[in-house]
Formats: sequence, C-alpha cells, structure tokens
Amino acid sequence: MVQDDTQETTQDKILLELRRGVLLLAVLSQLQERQYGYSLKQSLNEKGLEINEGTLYPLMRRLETQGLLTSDWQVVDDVRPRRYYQISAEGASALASLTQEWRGLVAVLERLLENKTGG
Amino acid sequence: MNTKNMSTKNVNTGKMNAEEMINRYVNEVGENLPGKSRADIEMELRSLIQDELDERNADSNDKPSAVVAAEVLREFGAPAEIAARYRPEEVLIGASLFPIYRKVLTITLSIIVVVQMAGLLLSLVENQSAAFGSMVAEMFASFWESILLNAGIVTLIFAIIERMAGDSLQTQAGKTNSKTKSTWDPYQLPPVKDPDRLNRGDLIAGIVVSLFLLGGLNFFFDSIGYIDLDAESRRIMAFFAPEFRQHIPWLTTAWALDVLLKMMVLVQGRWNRLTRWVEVGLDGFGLYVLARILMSDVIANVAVFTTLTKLTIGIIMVIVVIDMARKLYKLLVGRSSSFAAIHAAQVA
Repeated sequence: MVQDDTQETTQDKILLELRRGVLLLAVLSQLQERQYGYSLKQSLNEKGLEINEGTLYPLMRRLETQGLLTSDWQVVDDVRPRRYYQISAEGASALASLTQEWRGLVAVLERLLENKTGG
Repeated sequence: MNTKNMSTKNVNTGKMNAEEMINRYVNEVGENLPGKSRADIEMELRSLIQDELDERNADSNDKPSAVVAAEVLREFGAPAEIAARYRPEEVLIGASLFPIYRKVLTITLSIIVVVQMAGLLLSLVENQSAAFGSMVAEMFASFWESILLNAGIVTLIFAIIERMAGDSLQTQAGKTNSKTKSTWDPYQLPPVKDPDRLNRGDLIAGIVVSLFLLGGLNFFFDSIGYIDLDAESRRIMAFFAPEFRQHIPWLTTAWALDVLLKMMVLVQGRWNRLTRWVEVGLDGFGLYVLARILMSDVIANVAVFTTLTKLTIGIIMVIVVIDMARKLYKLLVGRSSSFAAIHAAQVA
C-alpha cells in the first residue's frame, strides 16, 4: 500500500515535470494575441489543455519576469482592473525555437515509442 | 487539498460571505510573498478570482455566494502553496558555491574535531584525579557547541556571499562552462585514482622511517637528546626518562609488524583486502601502544617535555583514529574500485 502511494507520488512528479516545459510552450503560443489570465485559461481549455489556476497564473508572471511576455493593467467596466499579457519580441523568438525543438522531439519520440510498443 | 481541515480551522465560517472569504485568501497569500511584489500580485489575484466567480455566477443576478467562492479558492490552491509558486526561487547557498562551502565546512569541522579530541586527551592525562565522567560530559558539551557555532558561522558567511554575489557567480559558472565546452580536450583527462595502487616511494620511505626509529630507540636510547652547553663536558642530556624503557618492546613490536606488512605489500605489488585489514589492525595496536605511553607518569627527563610529548601523542592518536575510521568505512561500506574489479578479473 505504501509502495503504491510512493509509486503514485513519483509518477505525479514525473508527469508534472513533463507538463511544465510543455505548458510554457502552450502559453507562449496562445499569447500572440493579448489576453488576460482567465481568457487564456479558457482558450487553453477549449483546445483540450486542462490547466490549474494555481499553475497557470504564476507561470504567466514568471514568463513576464523573464522577459518573454509583456503586461499592462487595464480598467474594465470602469471598476475592474485586469492585467493583460502578450508575447514580447524575445518571447516570439523563444517560441520559434521551442516550436522547432518540440516538433523534432515529437518526431523522435514517436519513433522511439513505436519501437517500444511494437516490440 | 484538505477541505476538512480548512472548514474546521477557520472561525466564523458560517457568517463569512464571498467577499470576506476572498479578502482573507488574498491576504493570506500576500503574507507569504516578498514585500516589493506583494501589492501587485494581490491585485492580480483578486482580479483573477473575480473573473472565475463572474463566469460561474453568470446566470444569476445575485452576488456570488460563499459556497461558489470557496469552490473557486479550492481550485486555486492553498494560500501557502500558491504563494510559493509566485515567489522567485530562493536558496541559501546556490549550486555554484555549494562545492566550496562543503569543502570549507569539512576542513573547519575536521580541525575542530582534532583540536577538541587532543584537548580531551590532554585533560584526561593532566587531571587523572578529577571525575572522569563529568570531564568527558563537559568536553562533549563544549565539542558540540564549537561544532554548531563554527558550522553556523561558515554557513552565514557563504549565505552572505550568495546574497551579495550569487548572480554573478552563476554567470561566471556559465561562462566557464561555455569556455570549457570549446576548449575541453579528452586527451588531457587526468588518470583515474586507483586506491589499491602501490606507491613504492611512500612504502619504502615508511619502512626506512620505521627501521630508523626502531634502531634508534633500541640501540641509542641514551643518545637521543640534546647537548647541555652549560656543562663543562658538554655531555648529551637524554631526552627520554629511564621509565620510558618499559615502552620500547611495545614500540619495537608495532614498528616491526609495520615493516613486515609494508614489505609484504611491496612483494605482492598492490594492496588487497587482507593487507588493508591487517593495516587497520596494526593501526589499532599502534593506538594501544600510544595510549600506554600517554597514561604513563613520566616520559621525558624534563617535565615540560613530558607534557609536550603527551600533547603530540594526543594529536597523533586523533589523526590515527580518523584515518582508521576512514579505512574501516571504505572496507565495510565503500564500493570496490573499478581497478580492483578489473584486477580481480585478470587474476581469475
């Protein structure tokens, strides 16, 4: 039982690590248009990528600190301040590199996993 | 997230409305954030939570209920957890400094161990009448105090260096790495250290020293000393007191066995497990002989030399104990070297 729990925790950690890099790419890809946090989350959800609020919003802020995103506050309906994010020039360049790397990796991994399942 | 704990921990949960709940949540997250970014993150978090609430309450004209707010906040995660994700990564001592920190800490603590143990041995010899138990307890307490204090000071110094120059150190490390990548040459790799390889020079030097000491103490006992310049005849003043003669057979045995072992290893061409065990055994025997000398009342003809010799013996004993512990650790739990494995395979 304890072993099962440990195994589950290890698998959770591995999955989290796998998703972390992918989420960065997903967020950059969707912020070529200016969006605020909730709208980005909806946009990702609609395209099939479920992402937790506690993961997405700090990630956007971190990407902004790294210079990959820009942000500005805008007051909506005269009462509600909302922070909008958009990809920066540096972020666009990173997105291009990451996309190329991602496609290469997917192709290689597809071959590797096919060999694995095909025996 | 543990919702049960959440509901039992908070007070006045029944009367709390959505607004109050969000205020508390945002404040709790802010409590765990650095001051400079706190206000900005709090404002953004409040805005994001409000967006979620609006979406879920879109079909209603009423304000969002506490139940809906609680549901949204649970999805955001525990305040400490979400604050940790917003916080920049912080380390006391970073990866660039850590190897140097570990080396400095090890050296500092080793020196303290040697000095403290030598002090304990000397106190035991000098104050044989005092209560043994209380003396050891006092020394033990002082030992731990020194260890903790010095480890703390070293850590504090490195933490300050990390804070003042951590970023530039990482940049330097990055530059060094990129430089290393381009200039690195596989042909310049240093040879792998073989722990069982014979160092003939060291062994022969060890044999010569042991024979020299053995001969000197057995055949020139009264000639080991210093010349008394005040006396008219300028005769040699023997260093060792006549009482020291009782230790000569013990010392002779220890040095003779040491010479035998080293000669055996020289003939075999390399150290092996058996010779390593014999070496540890001889170290133990040497410790016993040194302890006998340490516990004797008189060593030298001059009282101050007796004290100095005992201090020296104490330090030697500490070094031997540490060396023995290291050898025993390698013999009992250490991995056998790849060289040993290859050698064993070749012999087989």
